[in-house]
Amino acid sequence: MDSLELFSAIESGRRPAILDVRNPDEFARWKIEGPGRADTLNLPYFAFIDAEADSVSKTRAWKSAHPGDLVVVCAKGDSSEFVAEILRTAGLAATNLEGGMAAWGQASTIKPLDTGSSVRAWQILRFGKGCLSYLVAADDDAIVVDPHRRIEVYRRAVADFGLKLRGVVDTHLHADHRSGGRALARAESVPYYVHFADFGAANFDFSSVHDRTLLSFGEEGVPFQFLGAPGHTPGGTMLLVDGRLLLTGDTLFAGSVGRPDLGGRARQWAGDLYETLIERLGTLDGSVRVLPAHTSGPSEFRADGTVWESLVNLRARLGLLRLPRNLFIEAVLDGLAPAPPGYETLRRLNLELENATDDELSELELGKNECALARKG
Amino acid sequence: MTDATLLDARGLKCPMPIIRAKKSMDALPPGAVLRVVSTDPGSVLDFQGWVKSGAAYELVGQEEGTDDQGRRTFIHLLRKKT
Repeated sequence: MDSLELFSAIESGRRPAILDVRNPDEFARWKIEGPGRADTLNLPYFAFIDAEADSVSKTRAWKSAHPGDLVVVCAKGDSSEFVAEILRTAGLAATNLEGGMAAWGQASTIKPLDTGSSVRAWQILRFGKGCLSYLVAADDDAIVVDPHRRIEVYRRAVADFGLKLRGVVDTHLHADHRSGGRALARAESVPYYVHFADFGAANFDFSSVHDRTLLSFGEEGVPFQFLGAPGHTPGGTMLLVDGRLLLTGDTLFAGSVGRPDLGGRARQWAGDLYETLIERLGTLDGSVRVLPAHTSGPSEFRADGTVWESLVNLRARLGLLRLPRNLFIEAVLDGLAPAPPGYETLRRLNLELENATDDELSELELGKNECALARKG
Repeated sequence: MTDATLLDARGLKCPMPIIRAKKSMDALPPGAVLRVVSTDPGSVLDFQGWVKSGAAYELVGQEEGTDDQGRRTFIHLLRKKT
């Protein structure tokens, strides 16, 4: 079984029974999740080496209470195949997740979004990491926003839908994954739109955007307006498409706001975040649909498997957005989780100040994104 | 640790380093030390987890190095309990 099949099993409610054979520390940090139920047992592969019969009977007992298909998962897919083989020999129908969590972290789905306008948009969900990116089209003119590094996904979608790629946008300098933005723009010979405040140190040329930079695409000139959104990073931007779709990057999520502490100036950036979220977004109509660059968990998914929320609902749901400036800053600083490992290296990689092999990138990107404030309670 | 038995597990993917280590440990007398040299970064947490779950061995040390071919190595020193 591959990652897409497992994701589809979770999403469609088939409730797979997942035996995760990694060590407990890795399991505690990051596990299989999706928009639907999956039952999980953590029993390390070395327990099957030390005490095979005992481990098999533990699995059998757990499986009898969880009727979904048994899928065995490890870091890279080899130890899980070893365990799956033991279980099959013992008469249990066990399937291996090919490529393990490394493959799970790289795979993605693409779904059409209900835009409520003539603009067409698709949301690309990299489910293992919770990264969201977008393909947005006005007539045949398309842009891609916040692509991950497996850029074939976007190239294929653009071709399949008969679109012409006009540009690639990164809403900010990503610190949780290697961006595919520059690679995609270069492969398709289109502009790479980013903000100078985040990308000034980059080792490549780009098309600089600022607050109020206006692009237009399609036969009737649909406006794609950049809005400066400092807070998560100084050069963060949001993209307002046709006045209705707001691609918020890591500034505002469907259940949280971006963390302002990954630059050593958490208090100052938290103040910037307040101005962006309250003063800047306050001028936009409540019906605007927020399309974030991350999801924090299964509760954010809609019935059709997409993640978005209207501004008016977010204003009602997120108490943070109703606080005065000083209390907002204190609440944000109070909600900070430890900085994710590797974020400084990933930033340098996204500026192309250093290089890494595909394996090194996969290792750096392991785990779920931690770009939002941790939610309490 | 000059009297440690050496297990060369370089180039092996999991679960092989632990399978080989268990086989070697089973053949050694109580108190003996096994030095496992692996090239798999995942082996660091796996050896820690393994000794926590199985009571027959203890992990007396872990270190990183580079082998003669320039590969990163992860060395695990296991002692068989008496």
